[in-house]
Amino acid sequence: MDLSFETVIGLEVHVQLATESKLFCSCPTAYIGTEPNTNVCPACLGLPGSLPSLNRRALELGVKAALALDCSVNAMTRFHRKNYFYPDLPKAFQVSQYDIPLAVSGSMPIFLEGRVKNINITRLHLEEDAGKLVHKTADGRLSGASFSLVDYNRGGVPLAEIVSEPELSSPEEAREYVLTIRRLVRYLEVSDGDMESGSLRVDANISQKCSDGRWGSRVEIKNVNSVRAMERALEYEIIRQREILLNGEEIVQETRHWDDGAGVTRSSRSKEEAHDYRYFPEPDLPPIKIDEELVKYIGCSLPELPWDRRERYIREWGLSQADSVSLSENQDVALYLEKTVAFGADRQLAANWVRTYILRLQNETGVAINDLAVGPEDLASLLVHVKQGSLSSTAAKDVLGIMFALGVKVGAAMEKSGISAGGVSRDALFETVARILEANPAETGVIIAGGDTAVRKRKYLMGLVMKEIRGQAAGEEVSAAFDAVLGSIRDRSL
Amino acid sequence: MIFHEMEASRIASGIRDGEFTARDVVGDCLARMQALEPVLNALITPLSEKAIAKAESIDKAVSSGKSPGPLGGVPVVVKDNMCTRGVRTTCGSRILGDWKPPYDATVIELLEKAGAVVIGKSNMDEFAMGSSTEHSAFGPASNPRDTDRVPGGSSGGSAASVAAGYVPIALGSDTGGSIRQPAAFCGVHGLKPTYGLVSRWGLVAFASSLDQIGPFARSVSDMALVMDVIASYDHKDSTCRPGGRPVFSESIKEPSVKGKKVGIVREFQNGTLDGDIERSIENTASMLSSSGAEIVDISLPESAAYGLPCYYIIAPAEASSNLARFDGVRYGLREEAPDLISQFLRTRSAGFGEEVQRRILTGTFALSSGYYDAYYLLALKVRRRICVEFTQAFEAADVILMPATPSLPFRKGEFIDDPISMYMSDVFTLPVNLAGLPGMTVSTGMNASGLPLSVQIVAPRWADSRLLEFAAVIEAWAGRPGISSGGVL
Amino acid sequence: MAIDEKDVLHVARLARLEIPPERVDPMVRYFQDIIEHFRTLEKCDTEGIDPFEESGSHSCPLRDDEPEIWSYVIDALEEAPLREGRFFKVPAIDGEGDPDDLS
Repeated sequence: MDLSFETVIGLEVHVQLATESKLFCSCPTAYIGTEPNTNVCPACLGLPGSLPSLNRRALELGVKAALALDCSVNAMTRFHRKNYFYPDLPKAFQVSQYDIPLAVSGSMPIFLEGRVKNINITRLHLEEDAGKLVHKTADGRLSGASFSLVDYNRGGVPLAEIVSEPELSSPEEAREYVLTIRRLVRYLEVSDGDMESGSLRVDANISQKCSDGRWGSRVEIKNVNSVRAMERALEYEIIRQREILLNGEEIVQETRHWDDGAGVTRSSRSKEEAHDYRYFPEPDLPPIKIDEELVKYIGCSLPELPWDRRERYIREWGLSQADSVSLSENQDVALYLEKTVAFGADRQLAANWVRTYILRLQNETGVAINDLAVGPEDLASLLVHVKQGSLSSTAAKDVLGIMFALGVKVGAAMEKSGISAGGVSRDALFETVARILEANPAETGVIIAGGDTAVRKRKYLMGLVMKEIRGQAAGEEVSAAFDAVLGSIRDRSL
Repeated sequence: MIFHEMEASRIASGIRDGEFTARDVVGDCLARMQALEPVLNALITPLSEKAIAKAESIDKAVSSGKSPGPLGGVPVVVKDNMCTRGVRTTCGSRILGDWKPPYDATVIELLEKAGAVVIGKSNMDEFAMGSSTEHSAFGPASNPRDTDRVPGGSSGGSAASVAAGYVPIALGSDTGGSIRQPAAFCGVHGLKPTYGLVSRWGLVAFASSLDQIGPFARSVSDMALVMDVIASYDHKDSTCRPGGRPVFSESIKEPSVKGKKVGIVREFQNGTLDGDIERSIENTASMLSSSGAEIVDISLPESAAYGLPCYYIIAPAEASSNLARFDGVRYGLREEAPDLISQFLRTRSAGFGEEVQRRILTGTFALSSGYYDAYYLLALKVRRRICVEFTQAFEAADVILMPATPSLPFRKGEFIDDPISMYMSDVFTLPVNLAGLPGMTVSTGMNASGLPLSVQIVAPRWADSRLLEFAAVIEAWAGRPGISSGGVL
Repeated sequence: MAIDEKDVLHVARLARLEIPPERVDPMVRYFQDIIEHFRTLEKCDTEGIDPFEESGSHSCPLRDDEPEIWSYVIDALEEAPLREGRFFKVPAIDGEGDPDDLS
């Protein structure tokens, strides 16, 4: 019996919002590398009598992300309590959103293998993060713990949970979806989106549709701490679920934990009772009326979104997909590029140079692109020389190095490198080409005869010319000079 | 001078003017408290030393020409569910152990800033769940008007402290009647302000959407004085209404009910109402009528029929969530256990009293999967109907006059094994909480056997000052309640 | 709908409370009585009522995103029944609660 399967994946992405203070109290949000239980107060310790007060910025960042995901922001939203006992949850309930989230019904395009797929977003809601538990044995080991230590520094840090529709059909799509969200939240400066440090966390729901009409139960996968781990967990789960279905058995609807070391998912529901979170509206927070003007304002001030920008680079600028993706994912990089073009540089040239050299300089030095010694205007004037042919690529690269190292403008850098603007004159170039051709009669003969090795010989001679003129002319120029001189040699010999 | 019989306003002005010292006043009130406490058990934690130190600092301020504040040197008692920094706060429960909150409730800060001297933290039904102050882990309190009887609850200790003359004013909290019912039982005034008028920051929550802090006093002018101190916007409580507050002491300067409509509710008087209380209502109504008010009949059938079950779903539901944090991890009692779930189970089972456990269980039930719609959500809908019913009633009346309690103070132990009958004690007060309205018990003297009589007046939201104005008129007629030692002294 | 011992014990488990055996029967009776009271609400006409319509309530106030350090953290830590350094300490977690959420 031949059965085929379709994979159905939905993702819940938790994004820590980049606020200074927590969601419901004024404690600082820093928790990494902070002494345990320092950024805490009565509210985030859940002390009796404490009450929540909502952070405006968290709400605004939530709206910003929601609008970028093309969601409708609800005019009125409210918080609920999700009740369960766990030591990292100091009030024994998490303040989250339930029936009326901040925003609903959005979508986000993902690019995969040259095609676009729109993934619908079910909702975006705000909630507070929990504290952190450290498990320790009596002798200090971390496994088989005999007690646990609780740190509430992270407790109350604002999270936006972005829930996708179950429309992802492969681990690769899931990966691209998460990467796209991560790029987006970084681009919007809504979150640092760092998965390894936990400021972006993913839970995945996955099921299998079978060609015989069966649809396996949904399994939730937790504890995936990197994009790679998520992909592996999904790949594992696909095989596991298909095997079960092929054996004619049923998939248990459950939550499974990814064990990265063992490379397997494990059932984590040993408990006798299903969870009953007893959600009810948080009575300590009145409903929040979302100001229409604020939403409009945030909507208007949204920058061009990465995927729109990428589209524009492909369609209008004619850039490759790879260039478009890497140049559009960071807003500062994109703005650097666009300013360079605005200062007169050729688009394609600017794209190549920003992607190849400027990003590399940024990565090598760790200096933010906006603070680099070479600004868009400097790069543009360099690239104008390149475009005009007055500077070869090779020479321009040297010049850029000097501009960067000494913090000088193009002119000064060129002087420093011994290259003068304008490079070699046309006459000087022709003279050099003629001299080289004359000095290498055998090769010249092959080129003129157009034999099998003509192209290689020509390249060799052009290289000699370039060396002679120290790269101070563009390749096309040299090539044109070759054609001209060769032409006249041919004429003479006739 | 017998300071413990004085009004707060008189004490404050005497200290301010150098007529007498805060030290003398506090000393006299502490002596009164120490003499009666063995019988009344109105306080869980007396704060004699702290109080004397504070009184001395007030005297120092006065002698150096500084203003001691509107309550400068006035002894007060606060219910033991309001957080006091460094001072044990128990909520009448074992589960908090010796918890010393690391912060002050907003009302405590406001009282301190106004110069009040907190002389003790008062006894209460555990977590404010009860109507008799018998459900306290620190033993029951007694009614100073008759020590065989309960002082009411849950703020029974605060009401008793004012009635016995420990202090002229005290703070309580009212979730379903916990200020107004003990005020009625102890024969003092008690005000539950509009929900959102007074900050709840630092009030250990029972039912967040119903809880409100308010004062007890033996005079309406003292009520106004303390309301001017504690009614203040606080950004730390998101349910606290932003904006200014009326000056309550202004609203009682020339109190008049002329031309005002007073609504009398008929439904509640269904035969279970005590005859003396019923007569007190009638007498008050005739007095108000002869003072120029118009008496109108109003109808609150749904509040009467559904208030009690509605309340006993919503309040326990919220409580079940509010009290989940008591798990032995961060503060309070912790029972030794080999693993986490046993710690939770043992700590909570040992720390909470029976009534609290009952309510946590019913609240958990009402929110649990499969029952939420049938109970909790239904109760929320009924609550809306009750709100609307009151709104409509206030189209016909400026204030509503009704009983605070169906009965005179009952004897200790009378209902201790019959929780549901005990709940009936709040039948007149809890609809007011459900609708978020201000309600006040106004003392109207004593019956023939010396037990206190009272009426309850209720106003629309934010019309708290109107209540005080009415109360001032009633007080001018019925007289200010005096103090009582319950025959001990 | 009759509430029985099983229901009450389930609710107790959810609430992390242990009912001693001799208290189970009275608690079941209490549940039956109080639920009887609750059921009077079914007579109330709630057709078309929006339970969340809050005409009298203000919109939730919003706080500016300005961090503040609380000065009494040590006092709060000192209240912990079990502590290790600056950590709160709890016995081993044995399949309890919901370790999955947010982790």
